[in-house]
Amino acid sequence: MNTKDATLKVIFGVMIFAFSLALSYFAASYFEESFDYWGVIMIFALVYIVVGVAVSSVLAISLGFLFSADILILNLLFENFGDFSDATKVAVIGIVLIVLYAVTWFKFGEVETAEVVEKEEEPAEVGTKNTNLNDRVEKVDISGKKKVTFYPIKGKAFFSSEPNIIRIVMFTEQVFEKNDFKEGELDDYYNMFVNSYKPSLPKEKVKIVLDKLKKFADSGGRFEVT
Amino acid sequence: MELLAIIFLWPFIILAAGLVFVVFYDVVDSSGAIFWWLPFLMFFALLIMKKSFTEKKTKEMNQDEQVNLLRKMLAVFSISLLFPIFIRYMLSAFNEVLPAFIIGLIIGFGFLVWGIFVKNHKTIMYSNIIGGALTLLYLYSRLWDLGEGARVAAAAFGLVVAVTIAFIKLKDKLS
Repeated sequence: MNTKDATLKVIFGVMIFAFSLALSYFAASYFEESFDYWGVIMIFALVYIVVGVAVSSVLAISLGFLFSADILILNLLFENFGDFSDATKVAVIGIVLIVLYAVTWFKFGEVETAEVVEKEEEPAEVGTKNTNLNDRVEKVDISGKKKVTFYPIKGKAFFSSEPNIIRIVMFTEQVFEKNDFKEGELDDYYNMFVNSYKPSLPKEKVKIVLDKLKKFADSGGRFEVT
Repeated sequence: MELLAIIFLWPFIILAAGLVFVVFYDVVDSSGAIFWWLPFLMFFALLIMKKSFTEKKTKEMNQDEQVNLLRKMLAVFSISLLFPIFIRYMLSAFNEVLPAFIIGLIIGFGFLVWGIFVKNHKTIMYSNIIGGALTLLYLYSRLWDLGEGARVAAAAFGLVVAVTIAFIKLKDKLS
């Protein structure tokens, strides 16, 4: 997306946000004699949420409506929260807390693969054909490097401080002479690697690491060794 | 579903952060509480402690990382302040009877312990530790009004939990 497109999206989003807010407040005032003011605001907020979900494929429009609903709901709560019963207040805050915890748990978790991969057990038999590859990877100098962080295009960032993974990543960077990859660009390389490299880690730990690397290879993205 | 989650994320987090100010306004308005400044203090404290969330400086982060950091900080801000308010309203809803205080203490300690021991979820860790600590401070300050028996029971409960956590966390260092 270029800067012009992004600017257009922001402009249209802000316009939708402003006009939807204006419509709801003007309509609530207009119908004030016949209907409850805050009731009309609540209906508009619900309609905006439904419209925001319905047009979710067009992000600017969707966010314009959803932020507008945000303002309406907050205004409604600000003016009326004190009149609610304590049980209703508990319910409102409880629901928000539950959703917040769900969002935090599923969206903001950091995936750490390093801690689970350091016990010395029987090495896994992922690939034994090309010991030359093992030698080449083993020779990669990782002194001074503490961890590698992956930033997949899709999904959450994750990191590992496992030396073998740092070696593999630095080896990959040497092979491709870059650390930023498009979607699917690493697929063939990943398959070759899995079939040729013999990791010196326990089986179940290898699975965790390989699952992460597979996801990264599939989605593309960049990595950083620090 | 994933698309909807992404779209709803920002509006919901802003709604939750806004709700913090709404409920604090309600608490201050109804009981003249002296803690009206707490959300502002909390917000500045989070800005200062943002280093704990990431080793990178803001200048070194790309846009996505900065946005993600802001979302995490807003989530910590919202959870840690909504949690004690939730307990406060729960006590009011139950007419501040002793069993409600006990439930509040159990929930407070439960979330604090969860925060101390959770792994790979820094956002939940900070939210629970700060929220749990504020909740316990509030509950213990209120327990003062319930008489000496309640104070002794609450102090004993707190001591048992503190010793247990300290023993588990410092097991290696103590031996």
